[in-house]
Amino acid sequence: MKALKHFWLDKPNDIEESNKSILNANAIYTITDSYGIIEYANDNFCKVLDCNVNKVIGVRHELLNSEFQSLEENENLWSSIKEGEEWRGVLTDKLKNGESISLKTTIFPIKYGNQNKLKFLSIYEDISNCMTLNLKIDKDEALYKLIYKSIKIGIIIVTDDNGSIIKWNEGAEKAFGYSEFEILGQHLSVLMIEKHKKSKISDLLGLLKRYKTVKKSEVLELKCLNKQGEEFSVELIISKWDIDGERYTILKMLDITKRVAFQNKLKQKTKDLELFFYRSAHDLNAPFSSAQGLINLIKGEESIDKIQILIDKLEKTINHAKVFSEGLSNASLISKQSHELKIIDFPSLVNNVLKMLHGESKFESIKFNVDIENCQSFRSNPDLLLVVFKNLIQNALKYSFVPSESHVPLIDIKVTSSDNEVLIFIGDNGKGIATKELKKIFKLYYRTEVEHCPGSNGLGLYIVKNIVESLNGEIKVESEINKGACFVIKIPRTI
Amino acid sequence: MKLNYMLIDDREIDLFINQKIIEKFSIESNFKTFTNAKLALEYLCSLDDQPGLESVFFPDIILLDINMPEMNGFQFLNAFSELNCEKLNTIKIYMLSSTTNLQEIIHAEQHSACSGFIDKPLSVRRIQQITKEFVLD
Repeated sequence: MKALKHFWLDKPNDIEESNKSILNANAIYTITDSYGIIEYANDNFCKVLDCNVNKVIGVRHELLNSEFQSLEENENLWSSIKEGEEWRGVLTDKLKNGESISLKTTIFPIKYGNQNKLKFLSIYEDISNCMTLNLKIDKDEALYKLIYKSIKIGIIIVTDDNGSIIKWNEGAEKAFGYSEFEILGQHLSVLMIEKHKKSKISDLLGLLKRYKTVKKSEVLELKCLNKQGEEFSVELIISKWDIDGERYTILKMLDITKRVAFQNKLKQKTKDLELFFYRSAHDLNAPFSSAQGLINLIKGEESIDKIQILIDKLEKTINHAKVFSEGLSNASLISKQSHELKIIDFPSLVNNVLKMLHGESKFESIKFNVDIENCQSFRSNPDLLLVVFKNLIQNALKYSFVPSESHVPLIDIKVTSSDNEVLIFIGDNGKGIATKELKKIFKLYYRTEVEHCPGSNGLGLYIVKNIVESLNGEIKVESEINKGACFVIKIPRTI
Repeated sequence: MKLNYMLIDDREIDLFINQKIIEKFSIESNFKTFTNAKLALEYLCSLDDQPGLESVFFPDIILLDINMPEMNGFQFLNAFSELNCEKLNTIKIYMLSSTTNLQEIIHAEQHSACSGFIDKPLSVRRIQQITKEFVLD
């Protein structure tokens, strides 16, 4: 108190006692001499710092000491107040119980005496609670930032009011292929396909609104463009918000390329299936009608020779029906998808197929070239591969020319392998396939011109293609009319 | 009753059967058969360009299959209607199919260019009916 009295008395203008008591009751404050030794600390100060007043007075100001010793700011503080300027800032310290304390501080240098000596009146405001709250917010913010940036499945893009990209996450980087450095500051239109390039955010919002009313959907489906210039489909949700008068737009997208591809595949399969049922019903019926017609003719016929002709035709009709129903059971074999994999013995598989086809009309006239490499434990489904070989060799037989002096009908069967895949070649020097038909031959129930081949049912190559695809492989065909055709199948090894 | 029949069917066995059945009913009938509807249509087009029809085969009745590759029966009917040729207006076209698809049967019955649907196999009785309809017209 002595110090305080002294301090106050030294002042040219005395402060009234009542003012002092108001200050004492409502403020936290200290008076320090020019070296930073505390001369006076009020009760509130002691309470806040949880210390005894006697231990504080005459000691160097802990707060000024500990916190500012090494900091540049410390020098600023001292140089400011020694120059007689006010200083404002936050001082922090640890309490005895380990908690941190933060004091918003204003230091007033006050001259006294005649030698322009300085004392410092420091007034504090306890902002510790506020600081811990801020600290928590900082932590939360860092956490959310981390979460948002690391979301890899979703695409999040934030733009300013002009549509310039100011933030985006890892999912966006992955989907669009631009690095953060490349994209930040760019206009959103960089990511849009030609059709949407000129549209502004407001257009997108308009589109979304329309979508809401027409499709009753909160999400918009549209196409985007990645760095490589490839289009991909996304689902989009847009939201806008204002912060301190700045307008931001956030675009949340989900890459739905896979889903769309899946949907399309499903649509195609459904279409195939519908056609399959429709055509199967018809094609199963047709030979029965023919047989019925033939039987009607036989009944009304008297000449034995003519009856014999009709019976031959009946036999042919029934054989065709048999081939067709075989095709149908092969088709159902794919959908059954027995996943049992076995090591494929290609030489005996091809042998079996040739045995099966031995009875076909042109079989004897064909020269087969079989060249099978050791395929080192290639595992696959033998039943399905058998169908593939059988169908392709059967086709080659069907489209072969009659042998003559200048023509030997050939069928080449070749299997080679590498570390990753097995290649199957089945080629012939027969009638070949017209270029315009090459794309269509794998379609369900597609038949080439009938004069060409009366026995076809439009199932064989469709089944082959589906089997190859179910084994994750590819099938290609090359052909020239009257020169022959060559089918190449590539099947990856399964691990 | 001597008539000219055009038979269009991708199954040769059915062309054979249909012709035999018709011959049973009337031995003198004339036939022209096509396994490809497109070629049949081309033939009909060429008739339009002929000055006289005495020396060529001009069909009175066409029996048309539905399920055929390249051009099916309905595509043929549509293309035929589009020819819009007066000379060919006298021709009666019947759909002859083993289909059990009700939609197709209804579609055939209702098509303006089609005079009716016939279930396979063709019977002598059915041919009698058709010929009667043709004469009455």
